[in-house]
Amino acid sequence: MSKINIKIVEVDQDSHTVIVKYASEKSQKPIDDYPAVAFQVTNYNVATADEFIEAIRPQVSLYVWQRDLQENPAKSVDLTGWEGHAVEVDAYELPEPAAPSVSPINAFVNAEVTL
Amino acid sequence: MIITNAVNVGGFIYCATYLSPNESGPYYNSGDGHYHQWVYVISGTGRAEIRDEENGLITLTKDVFWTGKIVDKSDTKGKYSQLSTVEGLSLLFFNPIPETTDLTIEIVHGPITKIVSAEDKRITVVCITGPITANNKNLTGLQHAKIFPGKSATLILPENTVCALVSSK
Repeated sequence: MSKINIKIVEVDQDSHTVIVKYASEKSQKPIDDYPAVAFQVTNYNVATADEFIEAIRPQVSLYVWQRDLQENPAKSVDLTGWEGHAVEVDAYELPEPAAPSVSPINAFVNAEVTL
Repeated sequence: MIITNAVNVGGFIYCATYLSPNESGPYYNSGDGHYHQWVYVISGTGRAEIRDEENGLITLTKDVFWTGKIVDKSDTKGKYSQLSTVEGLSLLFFNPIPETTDLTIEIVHGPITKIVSAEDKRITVVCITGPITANNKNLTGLQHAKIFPGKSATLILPENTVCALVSSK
């Protein structure tokens, strides 16, 4: 599993804002050379720095993955010999489409109930 | 702010809205069907800053928006309100038509069985969180029923349900 580094570089107690920098092992520059991103701590139900890091980990993982993709574009692939290549494979099982809901929302169909 | 439902009952409108987290919106509290006389907080918290003039000084702050609270907004009539949230806020507004109508509202929380009699004024039962029953008829959330003068209705509210009894003075 790949690792990412998250570094809190500044905090503002008044606005409960935390400024964070991040990088991965694929990053092309040191973590301090990248721009930071601000998080509003009150948007997360956290009490400690570790809890905060855990809370933003999914979001930062996405940011760093997108940045790494920009910095490390996919290499060209040799397609020689692909033409005419034919195989039979199992179809990918897609979930059954949900049945359409036919029950109307009472309040929207008939807001008034006559007593 | 998103208006999710609005129903003209005759004499007033009840209007369900949602404000997202960290949203702040201005409102001029005036007009038939637009003047918010009462608001019930279905869930969330909010804070309103009131100005007598647009972009003027704040003359009143109302930190009274929290879950389950009915807020009297008649002191903000004809004024400019800036309502702000930190988390999401679901509200149900009660707006009289015309705006000079003075609505009275009683919030009823379940579990309770209650007989409501209308004397000389109609009483409208607005189901906020249902389902409840009125004279054995089901009302789901945002449905209403009218109890006309001289009539009565037996309301049965299970646990965690809420309704408003609305009439005009």
